[in-house]
Amino acid sequence: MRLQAEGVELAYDRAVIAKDLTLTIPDGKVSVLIGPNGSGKSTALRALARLLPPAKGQVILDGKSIQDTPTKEVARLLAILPQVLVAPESISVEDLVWFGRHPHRTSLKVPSAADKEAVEWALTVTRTAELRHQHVDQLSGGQRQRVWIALCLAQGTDLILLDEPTTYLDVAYQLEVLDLLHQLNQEQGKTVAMVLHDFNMAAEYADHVFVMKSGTLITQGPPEDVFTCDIIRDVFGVESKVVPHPVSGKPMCIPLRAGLRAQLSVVTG
Amino acid sequence: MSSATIVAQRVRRTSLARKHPAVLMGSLGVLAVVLSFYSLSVGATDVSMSDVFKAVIGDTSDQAAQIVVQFQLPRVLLAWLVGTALAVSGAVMQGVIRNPLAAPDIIGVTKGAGFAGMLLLLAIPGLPVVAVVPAAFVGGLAAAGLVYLLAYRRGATPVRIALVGIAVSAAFEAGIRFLLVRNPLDVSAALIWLTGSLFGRSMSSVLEILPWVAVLVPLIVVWARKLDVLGLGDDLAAGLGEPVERTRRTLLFFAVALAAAAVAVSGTIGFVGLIAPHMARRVFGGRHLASVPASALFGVLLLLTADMLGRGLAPPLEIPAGLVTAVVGGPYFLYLLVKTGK
Amino acid sequence: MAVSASSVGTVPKPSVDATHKRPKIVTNKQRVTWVALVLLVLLVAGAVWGLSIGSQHIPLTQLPGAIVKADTPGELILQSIRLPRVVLALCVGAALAVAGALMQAVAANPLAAPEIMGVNAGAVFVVVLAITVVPSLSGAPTILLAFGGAAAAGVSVMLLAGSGRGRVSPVRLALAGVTASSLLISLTQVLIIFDENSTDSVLFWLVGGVNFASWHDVRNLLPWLVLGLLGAFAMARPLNLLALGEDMARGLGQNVERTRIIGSALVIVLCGAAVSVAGPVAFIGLIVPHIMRRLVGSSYTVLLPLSALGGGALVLYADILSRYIKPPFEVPAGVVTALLGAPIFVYLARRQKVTTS
Repeated sequence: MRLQAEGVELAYDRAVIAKDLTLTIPDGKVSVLIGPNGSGKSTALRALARLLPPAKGQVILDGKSIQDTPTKEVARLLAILPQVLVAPESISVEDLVWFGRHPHRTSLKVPSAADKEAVEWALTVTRTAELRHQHVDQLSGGQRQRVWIALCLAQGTDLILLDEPTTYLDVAYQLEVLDLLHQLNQEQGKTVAMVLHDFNMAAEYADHVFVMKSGTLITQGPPEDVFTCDIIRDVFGVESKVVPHPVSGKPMCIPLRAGLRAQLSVVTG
Repeated sequence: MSSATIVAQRVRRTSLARKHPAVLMGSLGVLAVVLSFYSLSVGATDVSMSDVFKAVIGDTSDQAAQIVVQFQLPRVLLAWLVGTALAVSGAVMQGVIRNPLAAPDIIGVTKGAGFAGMLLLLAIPGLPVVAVVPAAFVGGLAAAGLVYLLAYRRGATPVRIALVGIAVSAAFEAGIRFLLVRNPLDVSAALIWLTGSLFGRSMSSVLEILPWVAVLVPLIVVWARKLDVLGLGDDLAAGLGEPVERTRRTLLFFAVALAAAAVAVSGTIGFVGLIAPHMARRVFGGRHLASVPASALFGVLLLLTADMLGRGLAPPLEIPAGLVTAVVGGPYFLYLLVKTGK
Repeated sequence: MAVSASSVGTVPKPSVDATHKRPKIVTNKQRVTWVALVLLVLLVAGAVWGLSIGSQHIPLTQLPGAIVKADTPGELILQSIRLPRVVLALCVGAALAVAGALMQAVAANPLAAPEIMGVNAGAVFVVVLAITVVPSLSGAPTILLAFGGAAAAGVSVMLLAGSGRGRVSPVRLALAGVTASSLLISLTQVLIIFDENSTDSVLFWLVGGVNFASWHDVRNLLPWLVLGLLGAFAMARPLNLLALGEDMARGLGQNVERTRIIGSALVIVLCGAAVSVAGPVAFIGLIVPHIMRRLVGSSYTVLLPLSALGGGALVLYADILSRYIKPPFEVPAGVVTALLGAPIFVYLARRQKVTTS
């Protein structure tokens, strides 16, 4: 496996978020980190992306400690889409996606054929090519997120990490973005690892799920194994019923409100 | 949202500059040169244009031409160099701090240089202004270094740099006032030196600032894309392979060195470092490859104009360029208010 | 943040905003009493000290007499020079400190202070401009002009910082304030350089001090001071609610806009009046509320009166200290407050919690 965190301790200033955390991102699959607020899922992702140096332990990318690898080299292997994204004022879609080539360009080099190809490909795959001259701030939420993903794709990496890519989007746009990521994984073989807030979305799209709580990895595995009433109750603190999705067959977790919980004891969940 | 029409309008408004930035910049450059020649002829004694040309070519047989070379030429050259230094410094600061209100002044350079200069002037009375230059330069650098150190806590974020910079500037300002108070002999003169002007500067000043501008400005232009990437936010910039802390530190050093050199040589000329990058961005867009050189041009134009106004408004009284820029800064900020206050 | 067991009158802490920690509203009656007592003692001691400094040695037994009449030379000096100076120091300090606390409440910003927001600079500029144009101007018209300058500057800074678009971060506010201040101060310097000849006047308008204090000044300031302080104390409870956050305050029935407008008006009144009689004495509005907050928490019912006391004490002592800088010459107190305040400002700037971006 190319990317993993080994026994890392993660902290901001003096507040320790996670202790002795070991996470291995499976290659070629879609992995999702889920957990309640403060579980450390975003922190873990940032550590994997070299944005947060671990206080103890190390993050390994392609056999080397990621901290020892120069930033530029890491950027050619791994792309990160952070949660807060601010586009420069009145920048066109195409210009923004071009930023994705930054790790491959030195200061004095003019854009190469490889650069142009990568940008074109990124725009095509995300279906944002027809928007290329529009200003990013004019786009819809879903379009804008696709453009940011195009930026990451232009980096030409096989590993893509995303921190809550769907959290502020309307549900239609959420599906748009997740479908795109799924397609990238299936057709291009990209390894996708993301933090999602909605555990049902995670169940739908993930091949592998990491469940975190209070800085610890509670469990991991395919959605079928991970989404059980007990784990949901333990991690999220809600009673729920897990049923198979009527169309996809993936586990669907339905939280139960107070009035319904009594009935649960009659039916085995 | 029918953004088609809005997009079309937006694109049209800026497309003149975006499509032909080189042409527009060239025209600005020409304007600056023309202004320079005009400035060479205006002064306490008016000099005709032909004499100016003679002087520029190197024919100093005429007494008028000699005046031009000795008094006016250094000023104009200085206007070019100081204008460029301050404007580019401001452009870099605004890119690094990610705030359009950042200016070289806020990182403590200006006040630090002023404080150091004053300290030396007061410690050794009668010292020629020229000797103050190295002290002021070092003072400016030291102040900025102090700001960076104080702002550093596992990295110096733009926000903290800005806040600490403002605070440290205030501290040095307090120091300056303290010095003024303890040695009130020539408060007005001290204030004028602090205010900044191109008056009475000789070629030695030009030579003192030239290397800094000649080396650092091209470097910054080469690094233009790094500035753009930093603007995307620390996380994304790191994700795109930019060693954020290191790049930021280096760019800040460039900006500080330029500003310190400018302040050391000409005193604190305010607002050029703030306004010129603004104008550049409005006309040429936010990409630094265009906006940095454009800032330089606007800085030159601003300073040339300020200097000429200072000399020409009430001759033979010389109003320091620094005061003119301060007064001109006002209306521009009202304009900014109207624009951003929406 | 834990709520201390011995505290009285606590308000539950709302969710923490990463960029700006909401103030902890905790009142500990014992502490407050102690602090108040200490401040009062300091004030009295300072007043006594202040009254006894000067080129002439005057025994303080003459003080009671000096208040009513001015028969002996000693009493005359006490009455016409030293006493007004002490009183003015107290008044100006109180005004600026309370203004600072109000400003921090209204702007919801720990770094908001009259000098940082350009309010003082605006007032000074307008007053200097007025005096340059009409040299004999003084008294009520000056103060009213100062209000105008302070208001214009304050509003401009808020606009410049983009207060229309959501919460204004301390950085944006500080940068906007610095920009406006430096502009106004430069303009003021222009006027001073070309007009004022005396060093003392130059420094007065740049630095601020109470060394030229007269009863005339006190009389001009007093009504506005009283108005400002009373108004501020009346606003204490609404300000406490405002500190919970705009939405929360509205939900609790508060008229947020009106609170803000009244608060701002009070700031302008207090600052404008203080600056027009004493010049731009720096940092009082920033330091004193912060120190008081550390000592007694952020409840404005307590913070405002204590800030008034603390501010008065600070300016008083600054004025006293200033006389040791270059004896026997007079040094404006503003120099001392600036030298004291700047390091504290640096400390506060460093402490600002920032988000990861």
